[in-house]
Order: sequence, then structure tokens, then C-alpha cells
Amino acid sequence: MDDPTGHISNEILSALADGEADFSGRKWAHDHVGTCSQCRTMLGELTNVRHLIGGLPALVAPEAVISSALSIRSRSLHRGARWSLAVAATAAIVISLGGLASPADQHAPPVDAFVTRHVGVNAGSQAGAEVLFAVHQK
Amino acid sequence: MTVPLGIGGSRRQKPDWADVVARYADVVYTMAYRLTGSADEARDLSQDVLLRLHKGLSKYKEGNFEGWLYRTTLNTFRDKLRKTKRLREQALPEQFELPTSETATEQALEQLELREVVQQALVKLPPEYREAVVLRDLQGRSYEEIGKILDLPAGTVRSRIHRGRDALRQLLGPYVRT
Repeated sequence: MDDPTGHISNEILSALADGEADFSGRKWAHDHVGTCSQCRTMLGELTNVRHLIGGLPALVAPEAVISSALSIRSRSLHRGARWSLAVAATAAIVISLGGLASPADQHAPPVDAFVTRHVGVNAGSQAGAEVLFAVHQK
Repeated sequence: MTVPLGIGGSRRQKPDWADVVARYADVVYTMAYRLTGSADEARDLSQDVLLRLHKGLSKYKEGNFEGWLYRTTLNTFRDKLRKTKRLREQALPEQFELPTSETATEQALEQLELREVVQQALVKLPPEYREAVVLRDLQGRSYEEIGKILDLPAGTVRSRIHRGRDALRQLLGPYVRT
């Protein structure tokens, strides 16, 4: 049919063995196989190949493969937990730094006013030291 | 055959990883072993495939989970072949050491040995034929499904399966003669 020799090509026979020979001449091919020993033999051999491969058993994955696969998830979870911890720690530091800075700004000691008020009273070489002492005392 | 995960067509529900491992680790390992013919290589390949599946799971949007699994397995297999510099058009060996027909008859009685001979012949196929034959004869996929998995037209799928089988027919001569 599709072969110059008048026989069916092995490719079509292979597809016939699979029930996948979806072409218009399928009935002719079946009829031909019924009468042609050469094509019938080839179809038989290709079918045997198919059965030999299909007869290879399914295998069970080794424990190492399973445990490795499952550990991917736990590794991911640990990674996620580490990220969460890192984010939390960063947030805490930022808040702490913010906490140090903000109240100080809001309740900063009125140093300038203090200096202004006292600088005239303690004019002289010791004035600066007293001011500093006064600030630290406060 | 495995029971497909209940996610066909659903894009909302992501499969649970432990469920994927429980259902498909054996499928992946079996394919890996049939493609490589080596327990060590199959183990390494399976682990790489499962790692890729896990990475891709969060972005998984296809409706056919098994198709994605097969495609991932075959892509990983090809990548490993490339890395080991074995991805080239592997011509069929000039000579394949087949037992004599008398020995073959004896061995055919031993199922395990027969399977080993078949496995050895399978890994001698060029990778593209091996993939097509494994998907068809081992995983029972239709030509249309294989075409989608390998991104090939149906005619090419049919041709690769045929070429693979024809090569196996020659390699396994005494075992397949009618």
C-alpha cells in the first residue's frame, strides 16, 4: 500500500500494533496482513517488542529518593523560617533604633536654653565645664 | 498505573508536595531507570526530577499534571545526558552481543534475565527513540499525548516509536521472532 514492494511499511505496522494507525487504508492494511505472511510476521515481531518493553515491571523508588524529596520541603520550610526570623529581627532592630531616636527628639533637654540662661552667670574659663556638668546631671 | 492527582484542569488548588512524592516517586524512578539502565543514575536523575518538580510546583498551571511530570523527567534526562557529553546521535552499535539462540532459549525461561536483556537493549537506543518507546510501551501514553509531552507532531511520534521498535526488534532478534 505505502511501500513500493506492495507490503505495508514497518512504521504503519508498528502503528497498527498500537491501534493508532488512523488512516484511510487501515481496513486494507488489516486485510493485507491477513493474507501476507511477510507483513504478518513483521507485525508479530513488532508486537512482541511492544510486549517485552511493556512487560518491564514498575520499580519502587529507593528510600534515599523519597527522603531526599521530602527533605526538599523541610529545607524550604526551614529556609522560610529563617527568612521569617531575619525579617523579625530586622524589624526589631529598626523599631529599637527608632525608639532611641524618636523620644529623644520629642523630649530633648533644652540645652540651648540652659546654656543661654547660665552662660552669663558663669562667664569665664570654667563656664563650659559647668554647663556640661549641669547637662549630665539633668 | 498511578491515580492522577485531583488537579486536572484546576488552577486554584496546588498539589501537596508530600502527596506528589507519595504518588509519583515510583513513576519517576521507574522512568529514570528505564531511560538510564543504571540504579545509580536512576537515583540521581529521580532526585533531580523531584527537585525540579518541587521548584515548579508553585508555578504549576497546566491541566495535565502527569504530562508535566513526564516532560520534566525527560528534560532532566536530556540535561544530564548533555552534561555527561553523551547527547549525540548515538548510532546503533555495529554489534550487539546477543546470546546464541540456544542460550537465548534458556535465558528466556529466566524472567529476570530476559528483563535485563530487554533493558540493555533499551538503553542502546538513541535517546529520542528511547523516550518515545518508554512513553508508549511502558507508560501507555497515546501518540497524541506523547506529541504534547515531547512537543512533536503525531507523524514524528509515530516515526520515533517505529524506529525504536525496529531497532529493538533487531537487537532482541531471538526473543521476538514469531
